[in-house]
Amino acid sequence: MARPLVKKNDKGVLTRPPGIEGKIDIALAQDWATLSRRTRETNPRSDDLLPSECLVHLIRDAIRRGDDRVARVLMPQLLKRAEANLERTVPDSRIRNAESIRHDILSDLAMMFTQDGTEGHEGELDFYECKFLRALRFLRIDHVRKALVKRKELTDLPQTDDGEGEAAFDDEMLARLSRMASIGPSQENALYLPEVIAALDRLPAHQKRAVILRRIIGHTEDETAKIMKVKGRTVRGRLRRADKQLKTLKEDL
Amino acid sequence: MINAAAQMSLRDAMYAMSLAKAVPDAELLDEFARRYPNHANALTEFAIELAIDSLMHRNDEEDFPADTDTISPIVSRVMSQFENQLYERRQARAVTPPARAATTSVANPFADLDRQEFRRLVSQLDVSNVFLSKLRDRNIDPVTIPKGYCRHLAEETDEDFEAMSAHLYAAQESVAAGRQLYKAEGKPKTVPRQTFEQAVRSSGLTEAQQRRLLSFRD
Repeated sequence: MARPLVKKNDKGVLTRPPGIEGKIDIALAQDWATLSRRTRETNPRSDDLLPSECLVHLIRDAIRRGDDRVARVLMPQLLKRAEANLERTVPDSRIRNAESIRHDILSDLAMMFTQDGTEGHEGELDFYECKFLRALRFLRIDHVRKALVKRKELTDLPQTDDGEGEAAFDDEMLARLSRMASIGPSQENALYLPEVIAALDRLPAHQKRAVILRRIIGHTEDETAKIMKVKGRTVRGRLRRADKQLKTLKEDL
Repeated sequence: MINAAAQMSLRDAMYAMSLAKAVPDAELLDEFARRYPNHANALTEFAIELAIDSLMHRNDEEDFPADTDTISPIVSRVMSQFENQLYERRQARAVTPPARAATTSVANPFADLDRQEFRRLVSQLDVSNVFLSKLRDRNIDPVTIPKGYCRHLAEETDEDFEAMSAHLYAAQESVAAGRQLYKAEGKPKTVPRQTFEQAVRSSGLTEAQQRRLLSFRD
């Protein structure tokens, strides 16, 4: 039986997705040799694959039981998966000292386990037992943001010719981006979207904010104005100028 | 009165927002601004960063290392930190005075039962005194207790499943000297935890009781 989570939100205690809960229960009943083999499985379609959420639970459980040997064997596998994610999302080509940032993120993640359950660190890892990648996303954004503020450095988006960019968009985002740049919603336009995002990222900060709030997040013009603490016509002006630049890009494609 | 959600830390609220949806939308942002009014501005900024991040990366697909046996220099350094911190945690735990540990204990749903109530519960659950004592004193490894039995225990004692589960998982502490007033030769002490099956087999239960208990599943 998986240990219950403790982190609360206004709807009660966090709960793991049922699929994860079931996989944890199975893993907890398995012997060490089986688990050790399963940690090396990397085929996403294999039934033997241990999701990262399960690894987080098994490591926490081992530390709480005082079984440091198990924690020492499982932790590198979890860190290696997180590192693989960070090499893609915080690449050396995008930000200065990316390696140092990746190290800091992994270090923070590992320290969460050693501080787990102590005062001020109650249940942070519960988020990682629910949706590991989305919890890691917060940690990553937080670190990158702090690094950028510290260095006042602007980011460059990754190159689009490495095959990474195209697959990053789901249909919903494709539609939103397509509306944003007045490009039709066909799949072939996905090829242009990385350029659209790059252009978006190059917009002045207040224009970029207006575009994201209005066109990506989907706020109304009034709501966008309220959030930005400006008048509606200012929002319209910023969107118009942003659209002009993005449409120029479309014509160039 | 400020509600609990409003007091939730900004860090927790950001985690919650990141987990809620792959790409934040107006509905989500409104909901979070309403739930955490103290952090509304910071959450709006974070939502903008999430939206940009979602455009740039596939966030819901696991990445796996090409070679599961090789450890990179970064992971190696972090593992070294991890081992040191773990060692320090163990050292700190070793010198924690028992009184402090007791203040952080989880509520024990069996602790307030007097002797009669305890016996009544033994009968209601159709187990032995010894077996219920093991559950009360957390002498059974919680990982091995079927979720179905935990749920059954919670129902029979009118407790929440979460509260019963938290009790079974909490650190061992003896409550035998509480209201149940059993005679003891010396001070109560913790004993190594048994598996659920071991506990069932070694608690003076009849064959039928053992079969029933071992038939519970997750």
